[in-house]
Amino acid sequence: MAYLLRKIRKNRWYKTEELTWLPENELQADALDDLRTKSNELSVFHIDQDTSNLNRVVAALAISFDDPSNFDFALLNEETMSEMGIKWKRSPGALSDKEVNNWHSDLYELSDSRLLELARTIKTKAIIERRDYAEVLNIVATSLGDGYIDRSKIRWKKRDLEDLDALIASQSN
Amino acid sequence: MRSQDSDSSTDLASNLFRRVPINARTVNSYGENIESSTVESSTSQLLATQATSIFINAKEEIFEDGMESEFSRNLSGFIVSYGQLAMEAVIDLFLSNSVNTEVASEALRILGRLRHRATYRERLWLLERCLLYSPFARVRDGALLGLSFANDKLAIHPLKSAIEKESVLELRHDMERVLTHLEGTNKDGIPTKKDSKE
Repeated sequence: MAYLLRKIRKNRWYKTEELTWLPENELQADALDDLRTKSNELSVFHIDQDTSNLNRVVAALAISFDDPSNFDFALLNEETMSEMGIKWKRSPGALSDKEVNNWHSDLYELSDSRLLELARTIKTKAIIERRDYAEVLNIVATSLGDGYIDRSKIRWKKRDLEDLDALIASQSN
Repeated sequence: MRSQDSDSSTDLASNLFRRVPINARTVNSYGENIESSTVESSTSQLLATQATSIFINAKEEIFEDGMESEFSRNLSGFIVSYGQLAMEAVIDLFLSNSVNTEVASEALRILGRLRHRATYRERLWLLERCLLYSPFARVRDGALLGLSFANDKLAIHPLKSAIEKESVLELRHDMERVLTHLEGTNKDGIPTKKDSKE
């Protein structure tokens, strides 16, 4: 049973006591910001059941952003998606790690009701986790060391690359 | 001289409403003629207006972790250009509790990431205050993320206090992870106190 990963912003999915107006079993509408479709499709990555390829996906995505940052994500198992009738098709990703691109799919033919059902299923059944800033730097450093990503493809600013280099240097000492 | 002051204030005011990008050159040209407390007070008011405008405009943006936004560029530029006066305006906004929670959360991330030594203490103070006292979990989370970027051991004590009182389990776990990293910063090898470099 493998997973599908969707990058989210974790705090949009909180259900906390200050949200007294929010009915039981409903989500903050802001959570839907993490499920913005294009052509009624949504980008996801396939993660192995043992999550052995998770960090590699995180690293490939992290270096495609403007800045190093925390990385929040939801993992929903494929079986649950199938039971919901949500379909996906393999489509090449556009990241600098070619293998990670092979793990990319698009959920497609998403209607409004299906999207809402997906959102509620993410809240109730998905594994929602965060890799914080320091962890992301470590994950990227490891992926670089393993040769999965090319340093020249990292989009970060010079100062962030210097931090990354300092981290790698300290790990090698 | 007086009329120059007046012209500067007028230009600044019109720039605010035209949303002309602000930068260090802009502040220098306005700043060199400021001589009286009246003008300083007026400048503070204009900066408060500018800060409010930046935060209000951000309400229509959708933020994504790791991605720059118009808000991140505007807020960073505002603080780099106007320094502590800008931070005072931002802090006043936060203390007035008039900031949208999503925007406030994003602002705290930006403030933590910013490398600007002159405002470091004010930014750290605001991050710690929001972490400890904001009634909104999303704002506390933004403060946590800001502190994780700042990566300063000074945040360890307030972080421990925040963990003790945090009622949202998942947020408390995230706080504990950041605390672990801060306490072991040297082992991580991630540089500390980035602001000291600049």
